Amino acid sequence: MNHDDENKMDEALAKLLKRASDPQATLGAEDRLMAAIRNTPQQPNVVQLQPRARNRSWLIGLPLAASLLLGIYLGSTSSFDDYLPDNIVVGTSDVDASSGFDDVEKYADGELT
Amino acid sequence: MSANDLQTTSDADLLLASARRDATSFAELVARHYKPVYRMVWRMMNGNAETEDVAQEAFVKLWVNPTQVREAKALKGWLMRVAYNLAIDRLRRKPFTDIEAVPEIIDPSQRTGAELDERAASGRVDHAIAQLPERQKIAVTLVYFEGMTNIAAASVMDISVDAIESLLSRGRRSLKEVLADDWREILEDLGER
Repeated sequence: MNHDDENKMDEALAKLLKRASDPQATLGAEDRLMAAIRNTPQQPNVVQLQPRARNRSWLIGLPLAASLLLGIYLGSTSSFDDYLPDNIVVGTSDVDASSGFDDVEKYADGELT
Repeated sequence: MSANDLQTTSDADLLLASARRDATSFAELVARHYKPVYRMVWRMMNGNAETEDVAQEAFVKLWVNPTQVREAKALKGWLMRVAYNLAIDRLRRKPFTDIEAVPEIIDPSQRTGAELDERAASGRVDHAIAQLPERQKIAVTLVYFEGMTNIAAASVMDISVDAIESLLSRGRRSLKEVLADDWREILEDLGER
């Protein structure tokens, strides 16, 4: 098909499409539809709301708070000191070890590099 | 509400009334939108007798819950889309691929006389449209027969505007090919050359 034919065919197609039949609904189709409608119940528009379950998550905090209070109480009365091992050392194991901050002046004076 | 009042009532108000189980208001919506829905389904199903069932089912879906249409302005598009999906489901279950078996669309090979009258010409064009692949046929129907914009048609088919333009282009090309042999003859017979 050459270009001229193509253009003619475009025009012809537009005309031909106008000639396509206009399908008509069968007689009484809308009446039958309305009869079906009258026999069809509608979905209820009101949504039944369920009461939301009350949030009781704060209850879990009660044993945690009680445990914290007990810990503070026992710690303050030193009741557990007897249970600590005898060789427990609390403090710096090497007194000569550089602690960092103490050496700042020596660095500044050039004694240490 | 009188019949005159109904005719001037907007789709939005009719939908609201329908949601309150007012069948009279719904009947007005049917009067306004049934024909285009029927025509689209008719084309999709090649004029099969199940066309009416599918069109009816689309309206029943609307009646069951009219509030599901969020924008009343888009009601026609909504109905077309529901009907389109219903027709696709029906076609997948029972495809009407054998166009020869569909009596509603005239098969041009069965014409008796040499002269084509208008009805035969229509039948020939219908036959050519019926031969299009499904999606091309729907795109052509929505845009050329129902006068929908490409955007509205794309929304009905749930595809992009580019895709609908491509379908229309391929649809036109296919129609030209199918009608290439006898378009001159058809137009001559119709006195339109």
